[in-house]
Amino acid sequence: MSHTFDIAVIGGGAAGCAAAVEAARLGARVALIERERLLGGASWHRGRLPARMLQAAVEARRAAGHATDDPSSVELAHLLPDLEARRCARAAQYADEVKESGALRLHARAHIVSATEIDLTSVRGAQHRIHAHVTILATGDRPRSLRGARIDHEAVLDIGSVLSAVYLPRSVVVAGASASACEMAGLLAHMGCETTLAVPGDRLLPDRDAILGETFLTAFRAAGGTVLWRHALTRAQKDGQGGAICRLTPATGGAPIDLRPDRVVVATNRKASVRGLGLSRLGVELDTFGYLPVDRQYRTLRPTIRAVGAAIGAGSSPERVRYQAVQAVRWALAPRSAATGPTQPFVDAVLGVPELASVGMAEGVLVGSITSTVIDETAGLKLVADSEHRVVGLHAWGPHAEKRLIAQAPAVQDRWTLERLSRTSGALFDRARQAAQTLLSHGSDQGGVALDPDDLLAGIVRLPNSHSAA
Amino acid sequence: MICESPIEAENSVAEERATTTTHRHTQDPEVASLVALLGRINAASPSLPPRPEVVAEVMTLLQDPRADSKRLARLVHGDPALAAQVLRVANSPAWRGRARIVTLQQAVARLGIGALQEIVLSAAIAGVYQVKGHEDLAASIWRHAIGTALFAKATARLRRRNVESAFIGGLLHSVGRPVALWELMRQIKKKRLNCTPIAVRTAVDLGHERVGMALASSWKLPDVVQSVIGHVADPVRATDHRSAVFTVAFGAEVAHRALTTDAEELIPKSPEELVPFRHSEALDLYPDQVIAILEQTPKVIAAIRAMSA
Repeated sequence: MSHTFDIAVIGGGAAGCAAAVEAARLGARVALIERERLLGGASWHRGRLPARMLQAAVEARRAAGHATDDPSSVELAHLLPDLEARRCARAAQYADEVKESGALRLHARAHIVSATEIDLTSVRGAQHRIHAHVTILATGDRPRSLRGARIDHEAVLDIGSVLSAVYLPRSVVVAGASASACEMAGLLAHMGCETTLAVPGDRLLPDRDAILGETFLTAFRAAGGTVLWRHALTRAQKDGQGGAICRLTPATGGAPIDLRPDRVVVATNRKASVRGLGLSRLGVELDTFGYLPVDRQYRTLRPTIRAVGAAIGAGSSPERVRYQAVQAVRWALAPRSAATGPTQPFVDAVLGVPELASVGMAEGVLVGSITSTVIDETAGLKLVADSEHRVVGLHAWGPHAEKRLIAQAPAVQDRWTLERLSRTSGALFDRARQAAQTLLSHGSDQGGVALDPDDLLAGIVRLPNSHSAA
Repeated sequence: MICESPIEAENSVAEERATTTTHRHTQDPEVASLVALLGRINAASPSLPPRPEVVAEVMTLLQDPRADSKRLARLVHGDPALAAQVLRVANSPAWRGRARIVTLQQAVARLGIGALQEIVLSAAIAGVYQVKGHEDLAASIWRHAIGTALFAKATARLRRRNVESAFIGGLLHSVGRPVALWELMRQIKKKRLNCTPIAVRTAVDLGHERVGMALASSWKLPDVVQSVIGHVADPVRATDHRSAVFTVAFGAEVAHRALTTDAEELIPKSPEELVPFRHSEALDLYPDQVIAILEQTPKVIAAIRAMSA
């Protein structure tokens, strides 16, 4: 067997598998290197999947009237039945796709030696070196330790370890404002846990449309949750009494607040998972947000090394990271096809009650470019259009928000005109059509700046403050 | 080249190995009759020891992160033998600081309620691991259980998993062994059977899992602990809590190595010298991570000595 590959993909999550399959489809010799036995990625196996199951459990408990039970009497395993089977099923699905594509899957840790050489260490310790003309990093992201708040997986947890606990905590402080922080805080509050969300800035879900943060806040408070605005977690540890103690320091100065919850969940900072890859030695460093900087072709400072997915701060949408992976492979192997559109819509979902979802741009993200919006409170839908009367964003909340937007996402991704949307038939477009008609009948400001379609689709534009508050 | 082994293939090899071993032993009529005796035990059997009240209380406290130290201290005070055991362990080199601990309140303040809960739970369960006439065997099972709990906890932390189920699962993973041994000795005496020690030991090896499951059900242990007890001997068969089951199985492997290998030979000089553990691969533990866990051996051995003396 040859040890030389056209493309080596490091990381076997959604992005890595998509990259490997696409590269093999284009005829390349591909190695997919994953350190874990199961393909699928830690963000799915330890975060997204159990969170989805917990969401279903929350809804079932609410329907059955158990939401106010003492949460510490609830075994988490009872809320996450068949978790292992579902993990294995997803991993097997990925494994089949990779195998059928012809890509070679390698179970090993990677260390990049030079622009074209990668050292592999198997789980048994065997060492091998492979050569690859192009390396694609799809290693995801991981929690970033906070000084003074070491995650011990006992009293101070990350999202993954809170979902692998035996029992639910009675009280919890969740630090962060991002989608994962809001998901976890919302689900725990709805399970009856006394939940405090410590938000470093003054917005929840700062990288989403403001209406989603506001909708979440209303539901979170209705479930008994408390928000501490502009408070950063500066200390967290075991309290020696079986619980945790944490210090929340106001951003504006003033006296810090000490709380003694059962558990603290640190969901405030993440960074690219690149430990052990040897990137620093090659001159590839993380940016100030903790992610790998790339250009529009997903190249790092080393042109033979590209990066996609959560490692470049692309968030948790599997569709988005798959799109990036496919594009990165095409830029590397077949640049002419790289600019073609996505095959799957990118819908960013925030699990919880209510479920939130968005596709495309948030109102006000690019100042001056968005000219008109309409909000349908009944349907839980907001439509955002640009100066050319094209649909650039849809945001939904409430039951099946994600599914609804997946159906309507082509309107954003293909940049339909409001006029086209207003004429679209089909029940799935019912409310979006009405929203478009409303916008057209009221007219819109023509003074904005048209959006770059690549920015809309690629999801790699680093927006002002999108990470700093998260 | 490092090619991924399909999980299905690995499962079938492990299953075949287990089946072959079991088949060879169950063909021995003496062993088979002893295993059959153990097979009659279920959750309602009077042969099972009752759950120690202290265990019930501590399990409740473990579920309640807000349980205060006074409640635990009161619980331990109610059992003088347990209180003495807790203070002895708290003063052992594994836990003790510079000053001697003379009261339970001091122990709580010094160790924290979490560590104290672990000590109390261990001390309370230790009684189950005492089998008259087989003290050495039962003691070795107990030492191994404590070591398993501590190494499983270290493994869970390294893998960024919640550590609470690892310790409890490790401590109780082999609880069926002493109970099976005790029951076999009772039956042998009652029926005046003439059995060789090796047959008894083999029967315990083959039948303890079922006894442990019955005990876990009778004691109403959490699901994750029941899964660990039921599948720790063959984790690939576990359908639920696989991560916890493999973590405890790996903890058991490391504990066995730590208890049977000289300290000088235990930790390899380099990852290349490391003899792979059977379950490290399933947990995706790479050699340097296994070494990091092995390096905790002196601390674990000190804790085992303190808790099993």
